[in-house]
Amino acid sequence: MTAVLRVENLTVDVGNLRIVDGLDLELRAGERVALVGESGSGKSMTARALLRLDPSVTVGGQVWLGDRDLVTLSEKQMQRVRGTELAMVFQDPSTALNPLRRVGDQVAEPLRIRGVSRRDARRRAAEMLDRLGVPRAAERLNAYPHEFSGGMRQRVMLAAALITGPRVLIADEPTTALDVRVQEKVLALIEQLAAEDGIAVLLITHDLGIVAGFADRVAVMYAGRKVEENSVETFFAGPSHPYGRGLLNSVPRVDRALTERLDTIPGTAVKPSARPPGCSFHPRCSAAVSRCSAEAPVLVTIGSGQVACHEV
Amino acid sequence: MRSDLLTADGLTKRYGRFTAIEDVSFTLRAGEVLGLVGESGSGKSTTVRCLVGLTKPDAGTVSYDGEPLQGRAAWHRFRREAQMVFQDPYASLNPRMTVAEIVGEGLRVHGIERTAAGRRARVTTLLGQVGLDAGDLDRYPRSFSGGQRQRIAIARAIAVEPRVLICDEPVSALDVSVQAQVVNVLRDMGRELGLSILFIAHDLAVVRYLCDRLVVLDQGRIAEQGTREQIYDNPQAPYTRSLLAAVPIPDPAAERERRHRQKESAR
Repeated sequence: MTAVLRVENLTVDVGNLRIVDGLDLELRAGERVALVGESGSGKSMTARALLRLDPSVTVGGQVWLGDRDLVTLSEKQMQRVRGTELAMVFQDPSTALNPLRRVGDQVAEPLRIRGVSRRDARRRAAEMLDRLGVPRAAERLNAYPHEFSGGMRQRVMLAAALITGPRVLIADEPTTALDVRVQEKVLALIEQLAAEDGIAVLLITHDLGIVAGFADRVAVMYAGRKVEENSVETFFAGPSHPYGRGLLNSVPRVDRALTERLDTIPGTAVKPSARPPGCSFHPRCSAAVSRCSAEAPVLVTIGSGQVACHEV
Repeated sequence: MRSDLLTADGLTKRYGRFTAIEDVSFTLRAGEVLGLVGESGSGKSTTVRCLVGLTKPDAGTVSYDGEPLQGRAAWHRFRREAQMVFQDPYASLNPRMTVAEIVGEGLRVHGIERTAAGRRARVTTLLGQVGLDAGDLDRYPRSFSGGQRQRIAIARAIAVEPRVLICDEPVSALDVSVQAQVVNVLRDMGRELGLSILFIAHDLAVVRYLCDRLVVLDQGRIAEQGTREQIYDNPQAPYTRSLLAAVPIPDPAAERERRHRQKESAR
């Protein structure tokens, strides 16, 4: 299977601060990959860097979409990639939509920009909204975002992202602001449409419960670096990296007997500005040895996965 | 039998033609942790606002320690004996005050520690209880992470030796590893200090860890209330069942099975 998106040695710098440090990641056609980590781990910065959304940050390394390296494209070329081949949805559907424009126009916009007639674009917008389970889609093209619930707004966002038939969808915490029952429906829709249209999905999330049901593979970031990557089966059977294990053990679960206390990871996540020498995770790691504070571990392949840890 | 400490009786609140909550009645008993759960729009926040007097209900009453909350004296006592921890640790701490001032303010206002030295000593102890230390006394909120800020908020709340702690989604904004730390701190504090805790949350997995009993709100009305075992092992209301069925499980096989069941039942 060939990769539709291949990220090599990605770096993201804000000023002279390295937020993302040498990330490799691959998405194959139709594959669903989750990028997980705590706030400040660099997962959202990675997503935004792939689309080069922030002009003020410096993106390094290579981002191969087919045979083009997105990092080397001009802004004008990049504009054509965004929303056609590489689409993104964000966490908060109430701020990502324009409150003053009709929903139909916002969903149809990517097509209009590409010269599709108003009539055709509206028809396809209605079809897309219908596929995403928006009731009476054709009538509701003229409604405004505030007339929709949070879950329906996220469907509108998805419709706008998917209407041009992208090869890759980047979804940054797309259901975090939604209630669990709505979250479930939205994720099922993303899964269904991605499968039908062969779209690869990169899901950025901190919620491991979602990852287990949605993703094929999971990559874990800590302090701007990937520390582990595994199939979901391998990861949830037992993460390779102590940080992955800590994350998984901290999740309260309804399917297990109650324990006296929740497991925690001691301390707090380090900021990229205060990354300690050696392994970034060593100050919080119960398995750390002296080598961990001196020498940064490199990612090594274990089975079908990868891990960066001296103690594995 | 534990005695009733804080009771909502028939609370109803309307905004124009919209009914936010209707006939909400429940009791927080001494020494227990009571979960108030529901989705957004279920009326959790309105209920809390009525309980603490931020909103006047259109009907119904709130009683504290056997007496209706009426008149200045009753409210004054309640406001000292009931403390709150809010959802957003970035908005609920004054950025211009040091940790010593934030946590010590209640001690000063309520005349518990009248000298600055006494307050400082007491604040140091409190910080220790929530897992921070004396070195943090003179720092400002901006130098703390979300989880640390929530510990400061908990220290502030327990400083005045309350009997009741009202926690409004206190861990929703936190990362999972930090969420677990704060949940443990709340649980330890509740037990050590014999607190009665009203824990408002939407995450049923977190609530299960912390709460002895639950009140489930659905569109402003109580769908169901009962002990933890009743709600999780044998939920009666269809609404409770559908909420529980939607909680994701961090296990691919279990999650596939759960989602399969969901699809079947949707047919």
